[in-house]
Amino acid sequence: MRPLAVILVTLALAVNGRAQAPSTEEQQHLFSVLPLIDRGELSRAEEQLTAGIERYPRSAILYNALGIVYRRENKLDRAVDSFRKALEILPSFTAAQLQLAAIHQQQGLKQDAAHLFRTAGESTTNFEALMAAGLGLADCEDYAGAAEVLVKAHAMRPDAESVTYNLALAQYKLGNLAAALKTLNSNRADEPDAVYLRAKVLDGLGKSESASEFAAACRAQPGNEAFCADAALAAIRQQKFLEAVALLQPANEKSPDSVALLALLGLAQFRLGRYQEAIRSYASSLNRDPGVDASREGLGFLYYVTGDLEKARAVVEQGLLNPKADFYLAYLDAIVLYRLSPQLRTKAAAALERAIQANSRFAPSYFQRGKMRMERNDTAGSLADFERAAELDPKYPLPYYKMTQIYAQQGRLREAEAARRKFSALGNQREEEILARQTLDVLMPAAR
Amino acid sequence: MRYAARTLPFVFLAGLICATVMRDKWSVKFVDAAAKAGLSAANVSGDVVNKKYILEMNGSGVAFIDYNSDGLVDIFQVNGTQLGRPADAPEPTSHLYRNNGDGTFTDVTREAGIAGSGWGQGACVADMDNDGYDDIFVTYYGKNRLYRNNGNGTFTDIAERAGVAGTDGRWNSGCAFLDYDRDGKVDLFVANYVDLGPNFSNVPKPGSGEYCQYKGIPIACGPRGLPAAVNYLYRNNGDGTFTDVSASSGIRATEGHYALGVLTLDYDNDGWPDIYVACDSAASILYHNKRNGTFEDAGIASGLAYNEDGEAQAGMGVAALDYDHDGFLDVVKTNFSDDSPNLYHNNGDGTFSDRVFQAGMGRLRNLLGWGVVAADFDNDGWTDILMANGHLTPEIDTAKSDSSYRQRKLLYRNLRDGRFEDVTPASGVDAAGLHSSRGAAAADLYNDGRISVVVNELHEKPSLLVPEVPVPNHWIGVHLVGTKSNRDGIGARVELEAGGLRQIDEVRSGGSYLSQSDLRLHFGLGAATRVSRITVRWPSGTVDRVSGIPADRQVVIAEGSESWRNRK
Repeated sequence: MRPLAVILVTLALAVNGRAQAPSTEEQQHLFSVLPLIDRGELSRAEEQLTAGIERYPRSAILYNALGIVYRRENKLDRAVDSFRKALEILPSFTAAQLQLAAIHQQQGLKQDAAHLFRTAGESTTNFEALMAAGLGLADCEDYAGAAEVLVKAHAMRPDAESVTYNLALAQYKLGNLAAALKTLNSNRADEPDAVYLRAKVLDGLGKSESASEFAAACRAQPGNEAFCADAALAAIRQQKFLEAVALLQPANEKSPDSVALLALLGLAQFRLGRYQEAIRSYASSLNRDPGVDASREGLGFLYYVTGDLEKARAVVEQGLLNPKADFYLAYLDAIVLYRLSPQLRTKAAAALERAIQANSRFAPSYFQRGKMRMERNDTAGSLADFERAAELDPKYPLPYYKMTQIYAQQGRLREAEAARRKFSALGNQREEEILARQTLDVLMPAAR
Repeated sequence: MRYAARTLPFVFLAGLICATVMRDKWSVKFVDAAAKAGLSAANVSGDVVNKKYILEMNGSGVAFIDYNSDGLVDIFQVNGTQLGRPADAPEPTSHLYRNNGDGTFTDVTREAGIAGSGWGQGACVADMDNDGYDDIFVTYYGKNRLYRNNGNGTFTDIAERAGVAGTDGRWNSGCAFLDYDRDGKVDLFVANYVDLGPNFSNVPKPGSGEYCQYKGIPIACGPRGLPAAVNYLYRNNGDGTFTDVSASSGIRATEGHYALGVLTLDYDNDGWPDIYVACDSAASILYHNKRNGTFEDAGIASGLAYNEDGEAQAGMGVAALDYDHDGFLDVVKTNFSDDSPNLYHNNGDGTFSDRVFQAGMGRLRNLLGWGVVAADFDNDGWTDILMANGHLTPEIDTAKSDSSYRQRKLLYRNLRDGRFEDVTPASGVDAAGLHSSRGAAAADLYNDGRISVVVNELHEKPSLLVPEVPVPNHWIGVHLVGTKSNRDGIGARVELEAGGLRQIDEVRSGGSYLSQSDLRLHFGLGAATRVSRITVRWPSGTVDRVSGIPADRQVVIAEGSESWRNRK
């Protein structure tokens, strides 16, 4: 949520309450203390408010102000007591509700906080209070409540960019993308975060124009890692690799510590066939944080793709020293070892078992194991693996290719033909395309 | 008897040699002798830079043919043309260069009557009428040409009369003569690539669709996304005409392939020629000869359709070699960039395993391979591999990828243990500069055991790679003359024993990328100064055995003669 200064509006809110209005004396006493609070002279303010409460013990506004001072002094228990006292005296005192809710929120008591924000939002007609309540509810992840409150604020000031943005954000978080888009369209803003939100909404709706919105947000704020990461992802998904690189290069300069941006740059460079540049990007990413498996996977994958198998093996196996390494590293190790030498089949098999143990639902692991079993003439084992791979990923054509070969060699011609048909139906895919799909499936989410 | 019975001794002998022969430094240094030789015609293939159609990108093949039977192999360079060429501009033609035997060639295109123009694609050679003179078939986008050799230095195009011209708008690519029914007359296989439609009506504009992009830049569309063409088989009637048997032979049963390079080989050693077709972005086809006039596609079952995993490749050129001397012909295929070539090892049971990575040939994935030649360049008895590479269009360079339009050629030396070594820098095959290469073919141009390679370079004059000094090993060239079989002995299997090594090869038409190598076979003999025995299994079934042949010469073996003679 966009930060919004919490407005105290103590007097106005108190007057707006349905209970008796504060006396002139109470108000004068409060006015005399406010400059002290503004100047940060909190001890003196505390003394004078305490004195005022002794004089006006049923003054909700003075208890509320004392609560604010305590909160600033980080005396949260006393602040809570003061706000509760104010609400005891004046239950509909919106300012006190918002202050107490904010402390509950700070203390992790989200349900209590949300209840108070909701109560404040239902009772008040003050725009700032509605905004504060709406934002508070959103912070408590009560997006339905936030949207309900912010709709009222939006109705009061439909041209206010902040309420438009926050309402749309609440609606987006609720998954109500159509409403979010309608809200955003009602008051179109050029602020980068509004553009970014619009892009997220469009992306959620499956609209291709999301990519240009993401790109606009990234270009407006290249130092925002999230904006530029999403912009690059969208461009990569739309096969606009040159654009992804153009977005990521300045973003990387602005966020030199971002591992995700470098990994995405490497991915875009890979898809452009700029393998050496991609290797440099992933290597830099890995240097920045050697513990990030995604960077290591990207680098190992690129070495594999470019045929530098020894380097691929070194990078991948360094990561596998960590017993909790991602399954894909073990899978990469297996395919690198398999390609490197027939003498490394046993090690490749062990790497595959590790990959399967870590993730039993990754189809290519079973395909690779099936291939190796096929080499050892373990027909039953290989068929089982190919069937499992096909079951896990119904769009994966390669297992059917191997099944066709096995059935043909066994003379099971009808089964061979059925497998061949399935293989053909899933399409002729080149290795580059299958690897690209794997990178999107595995490396891209990891990079994010 | 099937040849498989001989596998064991082959393996044993290969191992023996492997263990005892010291591996020397690569010794063959090539120079580009094209300019000195007078190969002066530049290739034409559409616009040089702004290529609107895939037709402009594929370039053309090249062929070796001893057209005047003087014992010196000549060069036929296939050429394309341009779209929208001004009417008054001279029409580019293919070129025939006569070998003068002194390192120079003479352009005899006009006087030979072979100045065909149009979108020339590939060429294959055979003596199709068994008259003792080799003929040339040239494939086109459009109607093909069959140049019958008149025996007096001239040719006559008889394609229409012979029934092999095809139709306008057909995109014929690779071709090969083969005697598929072993009746003593060579038949003709013609691969077809894409159905472009009348006036390119099937082709979207560059950059307009999914298959019109390369690495983020718009390029000409295809082949994927365009309708695939179908292949043809013509049976030789023996009277100068052919009959289209594509449907009845089962050739037409394969659909949806974008066929390019054609290789004929007897992969299962059953004595019947099979046909392997490299296909672009689709399954490659292995037409298995069923010995009854029909074929079936054994691509998937054999493992030759895709790479080892079943991933489609963009196959371009093909060659056969028995790189491990196990008595079965293996296959090497070039592919698109971002991929590896294939080195399909023949397992001897009807299946192949792609061992390109084990062989050490899978690591250079930024090169786009076209022509491929398997020849024993250093005459050590082990077949080496040369690949000619280049990308589609100069526009590729704007993508700033690791791949580039002009690329180096690759020479892989056979290390005799299943592995190959990249000896490109030492060999000088790319010393003359980078090109965007297409068709490539090999021949012993000067009958001295040096294997030269001619390469058709897109939009440039051809390269002629010639070893600059004699190769430091012994060798023998074998020229077969069929009597009962077809005159060139196309499809004959030759097994040679020398120095304890047993080698095999076959006489074949076509191959590489839309190209034709020397119809004579060449064997390196290493240190052996004598060939113990040559066994020829002719397509007719006749088997000739010839013994005790001195090395370092071209010999002629006529069918049924059980003898040899020096070739002039």
